[in-house]
Amino acid sequence: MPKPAGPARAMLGWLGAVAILGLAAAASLFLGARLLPPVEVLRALTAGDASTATLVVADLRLPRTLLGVLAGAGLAVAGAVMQGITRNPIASPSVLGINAGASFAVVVAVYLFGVTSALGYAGFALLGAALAAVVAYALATAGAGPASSPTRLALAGAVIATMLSAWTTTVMVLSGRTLEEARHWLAGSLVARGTDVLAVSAPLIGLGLLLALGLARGLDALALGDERAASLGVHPTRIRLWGALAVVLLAGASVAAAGPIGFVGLAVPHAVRLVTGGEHARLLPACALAGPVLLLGADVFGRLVARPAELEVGIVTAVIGAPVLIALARRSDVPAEAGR
Amino acid sequence: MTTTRQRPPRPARYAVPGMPPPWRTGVLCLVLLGVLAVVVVAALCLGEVVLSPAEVLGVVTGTADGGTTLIVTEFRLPRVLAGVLAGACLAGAGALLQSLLRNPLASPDVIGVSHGGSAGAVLLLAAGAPAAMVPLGALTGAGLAAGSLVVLGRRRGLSGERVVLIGIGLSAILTAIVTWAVVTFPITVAQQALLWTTGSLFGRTWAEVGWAALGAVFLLPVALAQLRQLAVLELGDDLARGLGMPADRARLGLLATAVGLAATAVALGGPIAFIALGVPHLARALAGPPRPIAPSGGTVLIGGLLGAVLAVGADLIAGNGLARPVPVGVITATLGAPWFCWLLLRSARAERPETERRTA
Amino acid sequence: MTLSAHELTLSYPGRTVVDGIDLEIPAGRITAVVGPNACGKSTLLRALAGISRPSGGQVRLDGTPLARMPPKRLARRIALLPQSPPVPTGISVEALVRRGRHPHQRWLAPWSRGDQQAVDTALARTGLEELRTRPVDRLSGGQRQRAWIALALAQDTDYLLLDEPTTFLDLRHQLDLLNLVAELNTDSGRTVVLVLHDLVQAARYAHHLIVVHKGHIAAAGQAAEVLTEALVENVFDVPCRILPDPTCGSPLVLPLMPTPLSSPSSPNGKEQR
Repeated sequence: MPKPAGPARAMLGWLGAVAILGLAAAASLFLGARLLPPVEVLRALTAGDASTATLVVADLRLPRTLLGVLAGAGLAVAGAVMQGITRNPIASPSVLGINAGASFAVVVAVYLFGVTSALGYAGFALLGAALAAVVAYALATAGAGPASSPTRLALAGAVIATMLSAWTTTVMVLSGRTLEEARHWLAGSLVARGTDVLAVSAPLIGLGLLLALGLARGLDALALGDERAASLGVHPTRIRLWGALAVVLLAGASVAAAGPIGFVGLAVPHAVRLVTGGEHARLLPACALAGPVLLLGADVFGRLVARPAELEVGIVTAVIGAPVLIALARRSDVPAEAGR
Repeated sequence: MTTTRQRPPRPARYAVPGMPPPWRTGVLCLVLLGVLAVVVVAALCLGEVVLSPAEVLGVVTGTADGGTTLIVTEFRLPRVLAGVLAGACLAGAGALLQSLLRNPLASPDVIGVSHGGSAGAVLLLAAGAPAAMVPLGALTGAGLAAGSLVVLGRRRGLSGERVVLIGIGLSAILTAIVTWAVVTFPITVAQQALLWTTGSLFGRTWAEVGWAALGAVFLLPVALAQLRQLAVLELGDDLARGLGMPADRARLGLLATAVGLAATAVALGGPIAFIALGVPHLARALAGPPRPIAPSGGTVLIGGLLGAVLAVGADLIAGNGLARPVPVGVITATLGAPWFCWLLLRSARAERPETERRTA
Repeated sequence: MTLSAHELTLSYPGRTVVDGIDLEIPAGRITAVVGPNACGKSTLLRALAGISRPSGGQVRLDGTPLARMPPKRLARRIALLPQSPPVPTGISVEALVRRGRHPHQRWLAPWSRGDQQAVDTALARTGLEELRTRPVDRLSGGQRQRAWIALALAQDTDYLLLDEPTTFLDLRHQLDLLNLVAELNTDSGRTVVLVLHDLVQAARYAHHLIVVHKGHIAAAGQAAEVLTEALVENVFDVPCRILPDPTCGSPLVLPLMPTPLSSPSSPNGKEQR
């Protein structure tokens, strides 16, 4: 566990993180499949004309960047909260069945109702995510009495996610049309979601972030174990309930807007924890800053590497983020089981 | 006191008080064997051409006609055997991994072996390889993923948490490869690829079954022999070493066996959903309280049989039960998930919450 | 039969915990290793048990370096009980104690009568026969500690190394455990090495005392000779008075109270904690 930095160093760290985020956002605005000179980009941001530059920057890149920031923050914080309420390092929002629920709902919507609009996709995704999480949560806590086991929550969610994911694949295997239409959404992308999707997701993510931050102290206590948390005046079940709600808000809205991007919620909290330590008051905001960096970075990379086409962000986050996670896991001083 | 090392003329068998009597495991195994036999026969009988058990028996005794024999021996029998092997290997891999990594969520999916198999298969499919080559691609992919996991994970000993994190990283990359293929290639290729990600036993040949059987026959006894090591490892590294067990080497060996089993299963049918994750929990529940995390030989046997039953039964339903054939993974997940959730509910009501102890 | 360390150096990456020490564990006696926190006691014990590799020097059993002994053979000679091992869930006491027979078991050999006898004896010595079917995670602290000792006993070794076995136990159970250890020593001549925090207990029960301070041996020998007020103040940073124990004559270490609270009219020292 890293030693907490002195206040000056901490402030410097936060400023640095914000600066990096700013850089990432800037990259997302300035770079892309179509190379525009920076001056053009700046002008296009403020001008309201219908030139190609404005189209590209204001209508495509700006919403995309915003979406990247929102979804990145949402997914990363959701992941941190999820790991906190399940006390399991391999938990992520997908363990609550969120990604699987969203995917299944979207696929069903396309198959049965022929939904095509971005807003339609987003709406069904949100619905599916929420339903899956509710079912997983209900299963985990039903009949358990005052203390619901975090392990049970993770298990219930994982099993439901497996089931829904299998169903999703089946629908796509059976219906080529559904596959054709839905596969791009399922790969996760920040593209062409439209500002109305953003308008729906942004308040949800904002709400989720506030809720998560409010739970920071509770999550710290929960990490000590249910009994010790209770002795500190924290109600484990209540924290878990609110935590799950925050996860659904954050991850559900992110999935609704950007499609299922599975890696951010799992890996970013891990990496960030190595720098900030496990205290949630620092971990959560740091995740909110780091998640977008990863997502935007991946998005920009996807735009540049396969020019003029683009590589979906969901694919790139994994390909970039995973080696980093692996390197961190190898370098960290996680000792072999010492029987503690 | 000097060490006693008597060798009695007749080895005695002792029931450990407080554990389920040995006969409970034995009875369970027999029951499951019976169920497996029924399911196998059913799978051999049902299909596009419905045969009666008598006709199937006729194939065994050599009295059936050429057509029937062909159907049974060339198409159905390999598929059924593939199901048995894949189910048993996945269940074994899951049981070993969950105990080794001290995490009830652990499964070959989590550590990347399943996705390695999918990615391998998918890449070959995308490259236009003939269908017969694809399982080989799966095996290679799974093997490479497993090998990478072991190589990357072994720094100053094998830590459960580190292995899991590296496995997750590998899974993510491999899943990304599969997703990329699904998104980029024509629909027909994409659908084939997706089939591999959920698990399908369709079209298995004797060649594949033969190789897999070789692998399973070698690995399953090794796994059973290593169970004693798991029990000692559960006591923590210090005590394990104090009892004369080289903890790191033992863990490496167990990990190798687990990923070997998983790779064998994945090469056979892709990562059939749920079996590796859920069957160990179900087996522990069936074996009765108390429920140690480190599996005993009996629990592994029960798990293997249960996995086989599930795989073959699900394949039976997947192939014949619905209007169109679906991948077997969807049936295992659909059947397994509610059963699992019922188990969770029941355990929640019956026991008081177990104190969690995450040492990872 | 001797267990000894020669120029033993133990280190973790970045810091040396034990630096070039020599010591000898007297056979057939009870040795207590004491010292302040983080002085290297546990590390030393683990090295003596052969489960951690020294970065310099050797530990020898009967002249053979431990590093050269096959692990299972070593485990049949030396048993180690580490501090707070993880409690396995879902197994009975007897199942736990059975695992202590691991060093005696061959790859394919079934459970033998000798194994069962060792387990039964261990359970009897620790008074756990009634509890043999109870799940380990449902035992009280004292009972669980006895279960761990039973595991170590089932290992049937000449040497028994215990790392802080009395921490987390109440007074009664601490004394029960120490009495048990003393019995094991007198009845069967087992050599016992204990890491203890309580100097009074160490003085009462140990024949031989080793005081470790910052990775070096500050003193070794009989308690009466080793425990002096100067040593305790120097090593533990606690000023004290040492009186002969009225019950058995061993040194009784009494920490001195800070001045303001030692006047008769001040409240009882309890409030200070």
